[in-house]
Amino acid sequence: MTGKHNAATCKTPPAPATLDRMEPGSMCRVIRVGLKGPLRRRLMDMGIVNGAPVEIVRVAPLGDPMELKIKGYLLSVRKEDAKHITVEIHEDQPG
Amino acid sequence: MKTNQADNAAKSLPRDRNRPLTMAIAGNPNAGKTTLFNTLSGARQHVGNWPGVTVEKKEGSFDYHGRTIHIVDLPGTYSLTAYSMEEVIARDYILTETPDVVVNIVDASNLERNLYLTVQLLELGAPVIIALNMVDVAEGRGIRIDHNQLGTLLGVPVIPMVARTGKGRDELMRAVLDPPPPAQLRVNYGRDLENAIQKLCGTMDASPGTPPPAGGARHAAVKLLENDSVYEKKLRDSFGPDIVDRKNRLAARIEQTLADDTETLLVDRRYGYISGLIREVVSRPAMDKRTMTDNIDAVLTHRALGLPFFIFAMWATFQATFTLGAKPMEWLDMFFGWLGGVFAALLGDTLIGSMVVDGVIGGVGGVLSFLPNILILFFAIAMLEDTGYMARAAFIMDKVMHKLHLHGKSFIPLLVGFGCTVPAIMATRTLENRKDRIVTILVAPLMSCGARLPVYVLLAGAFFSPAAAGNVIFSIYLIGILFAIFLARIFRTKLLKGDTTPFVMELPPYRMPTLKSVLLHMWERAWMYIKKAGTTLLSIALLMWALITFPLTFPGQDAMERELSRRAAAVEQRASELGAAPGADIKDARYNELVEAVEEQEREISSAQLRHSLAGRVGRFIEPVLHPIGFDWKTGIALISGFAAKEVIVSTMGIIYSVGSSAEASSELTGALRADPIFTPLTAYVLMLFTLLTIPCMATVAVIHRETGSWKWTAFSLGYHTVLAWVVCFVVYQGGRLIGL
Repeated sequence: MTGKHNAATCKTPPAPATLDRMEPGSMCRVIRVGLKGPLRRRLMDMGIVNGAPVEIVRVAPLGDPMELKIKGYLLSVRKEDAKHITVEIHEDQPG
Repeated sequence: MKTNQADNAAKSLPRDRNRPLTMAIAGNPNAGKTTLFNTLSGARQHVGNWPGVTVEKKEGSFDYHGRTIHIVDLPGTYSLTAYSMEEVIARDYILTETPDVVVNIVDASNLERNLYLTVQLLELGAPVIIALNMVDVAEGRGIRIDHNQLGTLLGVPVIPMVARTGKGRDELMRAVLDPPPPAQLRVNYGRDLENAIQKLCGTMDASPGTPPPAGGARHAAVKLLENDSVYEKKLRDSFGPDIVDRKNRLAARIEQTLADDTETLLVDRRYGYISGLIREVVSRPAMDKRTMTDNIDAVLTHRALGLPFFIFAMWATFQATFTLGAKPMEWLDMFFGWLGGVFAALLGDTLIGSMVVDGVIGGVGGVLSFLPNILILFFAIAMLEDTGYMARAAFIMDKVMHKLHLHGKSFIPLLVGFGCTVPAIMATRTLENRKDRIVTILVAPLMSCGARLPVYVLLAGAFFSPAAAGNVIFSIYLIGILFAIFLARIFRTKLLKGDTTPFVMELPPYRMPTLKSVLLHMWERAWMYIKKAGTTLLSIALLMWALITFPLTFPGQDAMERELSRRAAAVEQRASELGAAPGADIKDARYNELVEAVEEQEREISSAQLRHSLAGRVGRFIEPVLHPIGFDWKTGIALISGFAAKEVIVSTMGIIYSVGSSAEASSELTGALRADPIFTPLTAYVLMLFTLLTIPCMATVAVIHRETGSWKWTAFSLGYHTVLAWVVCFVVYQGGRLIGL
């Protein structure tokens, strides 16, 4: 999959992707939270709701989980869970 | 049943000024709940568990301007769903205990997410006061919050404060003394959802005999549409199954129209409402300033530096606990030794004397001597938690722990287990998910603790070459780790399946911990340990003492004691022949021989006594079970005594093999073991394995019961350790024999 590279070349509309594929330092916006049950609700309660902007801060030293900045605080999510979160990529880099 | 409304109505009547006032503290984890609780209640606090569960419940009381205020610290939660025990506890407490006031502590530097809980508390109809905490941190970041406007929009008092320094404390307390009426917030969930809420409320109102549910009909309707299992059951019980069917039909229609399920829509709208609030009351700089936390994290969770720093932090914790703790531990041992001496002199060589000295002081003292380690470890853990590093440690280790089907936070208790299993099990308190906690508690004893090392050293030293001994001991540690990994997987996927911990964890901002809170944290946990030592452990210690002491007489005792007196007389006679006072330092070969003969006879007697004691009988009784794994009754007694503390296995073997239990005796014991035909390198190795895998010591068992809060899990732990130890030892022993070892 080279969705990331494609997204960099076409400006509009932003390409949908899943959160786990986002590079550290990039910004995106939540489109859909897949999953079911408590995990899904927990993610939503923590602010991963439709339209929420998310900054990917870093990935843990061993490659998983990832650290996100959302609604002004830091949240860590496993990649296997982030896979179910559909996002659209923001071209503008965080300040 | 008394309803919430009725209660609230009663509360709006003129109040009795002398009645104690109940105040609950609610808020997100890391919002400063504990700090506020400690600032208000001071030293008068009580830590226990919520009924039926092992979620910690903190209560305290204090007087403010002549009024007694009782504070209850609710579990820290992000939401009020039915998915987590903590959230259910918090909302049940508010609905059924109806505290006079709920102080919702909110982190001003993280307002948006914190308000998500606030909105739910307000929807619950609780009498809420918002304590807007850490306004200093927010201001430092250029975030300005119009707290008056926030209060007006939400319809509740908002008090800005800094809980750490106590700023705003008096303003908060003034508001608490004059509690607000129940909140009446109605979030507008949009036409379709509001329609459904109205219809469900109508159904509830239309059954006249049934009072509306606690928290009001609207709140119950919202919870139904969130598919809250607790509310579904509650409402089905009081209003019949029709209400749930109706909800399902309404929800299905909304899902068709809006292409999303009602739970998602409700959460979305709630956050949408909060975004609106934030726009009205918060002004912040266009560009977020890089925070201190960002800078620290850039190093501590750095791709390359993160792991080495983590290893260093763990090493430092471990070292501090067991190296720094070694000296005070020695002092405590010396103190209990001295105390034992005092009582021995006082009570003499009587049964009572033996019970007090060997049973009570020996048993409880042995357990309490771990106290320095426990204090230091909990100081270190409190530091790791209060600074915010604990969450980073979990973040870094999660990938490894996840492979074991555990949470990143399980790493620390397991590491501590190499020092001592007791604090390791207590350290599982940092795990939020009960199933993760139980699995971690179950496998923690497989991390070979420090007390088991003397057993390995003795056996490896006696039966393996010095070059091989190190590898032999290392292999035992490794086997423990491998079993822990293997069993954690099995337990988590088979026994405690489902409800896997979502690793959706906040990485809280780094903060300078206050000494007061760290010390309080440490003390709370240490005190629980001391209490345990004084109750359960005391009785087990006495039982162990009785097992090896009774019966007092044994066949052939008279003859053996006559022989002892004869030999003692010979010593005295020789001394007088030499013209020296008894006990003086006599350098005479014949004399020394006679003294040794006395000591040998003493050892024979204690060995015979032990053989005929209850423990000895138990050892003989279980011998048929021990035989297939290569042990005899003597090993059986040693293993039984190991229940008191693992290092006791060595001293018990000293007594059994009549070499005494002093340090000088260890080389003699090595010789005695080698001379015993039952012992081969294979049996020695199997005995090491058994020591590793079998039931942990009594202090650990007591703590397992304390921390799981369940006899069932304690029994399971005992059972699985016994079975595991036996099966593994059977396979190794019989396998070893087959290949001719």
